[in-house]
Amino acid sequence: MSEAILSATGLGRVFKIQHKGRKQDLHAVTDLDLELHTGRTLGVVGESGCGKTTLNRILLLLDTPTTGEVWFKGKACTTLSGEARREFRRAVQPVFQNPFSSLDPRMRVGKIIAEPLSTITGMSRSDIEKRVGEVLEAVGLQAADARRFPNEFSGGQRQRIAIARAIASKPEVLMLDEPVSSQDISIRAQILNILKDLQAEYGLGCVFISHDLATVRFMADDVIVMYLGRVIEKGTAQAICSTPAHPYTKALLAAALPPDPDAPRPELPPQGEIPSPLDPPSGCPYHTRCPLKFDRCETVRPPMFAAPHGGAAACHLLDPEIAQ
Amino acid sequence: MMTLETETPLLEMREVSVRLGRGAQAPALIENIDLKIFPGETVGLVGESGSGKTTLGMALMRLLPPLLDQGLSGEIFYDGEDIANLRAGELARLRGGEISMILQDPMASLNPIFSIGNQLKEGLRLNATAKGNLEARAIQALESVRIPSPKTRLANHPHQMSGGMRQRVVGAISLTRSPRLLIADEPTTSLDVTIQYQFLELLKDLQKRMRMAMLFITHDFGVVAKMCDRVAVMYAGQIVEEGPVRDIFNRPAHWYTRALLESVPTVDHAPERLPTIPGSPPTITGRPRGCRFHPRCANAQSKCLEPPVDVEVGAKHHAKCWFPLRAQRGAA
Ligand SMILES: Nc1ncnc2c1ncn2[C@@H]1O[C@H](COP(=O)(O)OP(=O)(O)OP(=O)(O)O)[C@@H](O)[C@H]1O
Ligand SMILES: Nc1ncnc2c1ncn2[C@@H]1O[C@H](COP(=O)(O)OP(=O)(O)OP(=O)(O)O)[C@@H](O)[C@H]1O
Ligand code: SF4
Ligand SMILES: [Mg+2]
Ligand SMILES: [Mg+2]
Repeated sequence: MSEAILSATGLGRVFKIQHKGRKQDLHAVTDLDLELHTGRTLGVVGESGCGKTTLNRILLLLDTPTTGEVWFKGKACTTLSGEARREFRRAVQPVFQNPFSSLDPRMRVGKIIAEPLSTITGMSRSDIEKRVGEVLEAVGLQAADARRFPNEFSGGQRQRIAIARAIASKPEVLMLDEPVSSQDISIRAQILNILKDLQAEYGLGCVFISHDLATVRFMADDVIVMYLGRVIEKGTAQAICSTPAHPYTKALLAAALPPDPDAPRPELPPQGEIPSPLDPPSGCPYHTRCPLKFDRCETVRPPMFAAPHGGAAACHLLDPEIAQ
Repeated sequence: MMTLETETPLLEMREVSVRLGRGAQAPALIENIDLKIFPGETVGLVGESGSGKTTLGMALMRLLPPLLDQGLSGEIFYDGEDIANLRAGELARLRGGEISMILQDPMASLNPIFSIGNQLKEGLRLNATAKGNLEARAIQALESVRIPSPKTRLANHPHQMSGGMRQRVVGAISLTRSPRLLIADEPTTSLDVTIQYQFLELLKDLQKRMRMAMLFITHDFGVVAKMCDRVAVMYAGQIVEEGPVRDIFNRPAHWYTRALLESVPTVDHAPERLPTIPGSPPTITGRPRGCRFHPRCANAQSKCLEPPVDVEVGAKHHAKCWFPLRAQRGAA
């Protein structure tokens, strides 16, 4: 495969927080590697607090990792200087969950959308106006909507505006953090289609973050599953959603309730509480909830092992020595 | 569970509307609602944001804010008694804990300054029929919702528990008085999926054991499929379709129901694109005449500008549509 457009190696993010009167380390993201390729969508799935947004902010260079490095077109991002950083800002664009807080209510839509265009030098006013009209139409709105304010639009339309802004500078990467989670059901499908169409049309690399496995299945080619700040399984979306290898992914799949009253009961239904990231379990982080755990799970943290589906998962059951 | 034809409903709403003001022309939050709930069954109330689900739940608890309660019309029979004409709040006094509610945000139902033991005992004290000392019963109540080390948990304040645990405590409190009808308004929307799953299993199990009826409000079809015996689909303040859960999923009759079901992605396959419904749901003052769904409907015709009548499309299955669908979903 070609070189990744955006990648991360050994990412870690530790927050120093005050808890019960003591200074404590919160490991929001630990030892995380990922690769995003042009024209592909990488799904990031996991429950609340597993570190998805922290990862997103680091990949957008909005937060600095405690350890590890983000790479953009083969260059380490910590070393990006003025011009290269500007290019990164043009090429990597975010869409956030809540279009009510992400769009400045005092700015006209046209100005909001034109903002990322300031990263491109030498665009005339009429070029900008033309581009704003183009992207508004690309998301199913009208060029004339540029003159209106965000509060004149419904939630779904606002998310379209946020997407129009994200594609205005002809980016190469879209970072999508729960872009449909605050939307109504009938609006979700509209937005997901728009994102998928844009991704295909412009050959974008997308990182699609969601807590909903079904949405990830629709959007993503490849998936990483996170638990307590770590990647515990990776594979194609098809593999993760049909033959997952890690007991946690199996639990997530069992909990993704199908719209079918006659669906069979899952084999491994989820159990237990999500542990506090301030006090993560020893050994395998999932052992406190895992129905398949055995002696070594409590003490030894499993590395990533090759999984039958072609990806990999951090579970001792996949250790080739155990399997024999 | 199955209900017998001859059984009397525990709750029946007839022509219930909630309007912004008293006049029949005032905009309606919910409009001409007919709904029955039989003892021991779970009825799902599903619909998009703003369709009126919470308003319906609050109306039948008589817990609407005063302004809206003034705009309440129609009949609501609970156990044979018309409760729509009681003064607001009086229902709670008359019926004690017989009708109970679980809300989306557990913090809204818990008092942040009191320990959960305190709040549980408060509920238990009102249940005169139960035996045993309060402490023991409070521990039992926590055990029944599978809270580990319940004895030490009694001293906890709500903020010391996870969201899933809090919601289970709310469950325990609302069940202390052995309700006959539980209204659960999006009780798992704020929970993580693996925690939601466990809460739903628990609720189902408790319901079976206590043989209570449940009105389960949600926008999630997966949750409906798992929890409900019958389903009412709401759109723009009306129930547009109602029927047994399998009929709603396998042979939906209303164009809205089918379109909504098809627009939801599932884990087992990834189509190129999702079927969509154009536009967005109307606001309460901008509701179209005739069929409320007609501007978004793939089959809209001039007839649809008149309000559709409720037609039987199967056994205990009806839809408000001039051209109800008859085919199995998925069949060509
Ligand atoms: N600025 C911060 N200071 C301290 N702790 C933080 C900060 N940001 C995030 N955290 C903690 O880091 C962990 C990961 O949070 P993050 O927001 O990345 O999770 P998430 O997977 O996006 O969750 P959600 O699904 O709820 O959005 C959580 O325990 C969170 O409380
Ligand atoms: N006090 C009020 N005054 C005026 N309008 C109201 C009031 N309360 C609710 N509404 C409106 O009534 C409609 C129905 O609201 P309701 O909360 O019942 O919907 P819902 O189906 O529960 O939505 P959600 O899924 O978002 O909880 C909405 O359009 C809402 O804006
Ligand atoms: S390593 Fe052990 S505890 Fe962890 S998921 Fe595998 S079997 Fe379960
Ligand atoms: Mg997040
Ligand atoms: Mg509601």
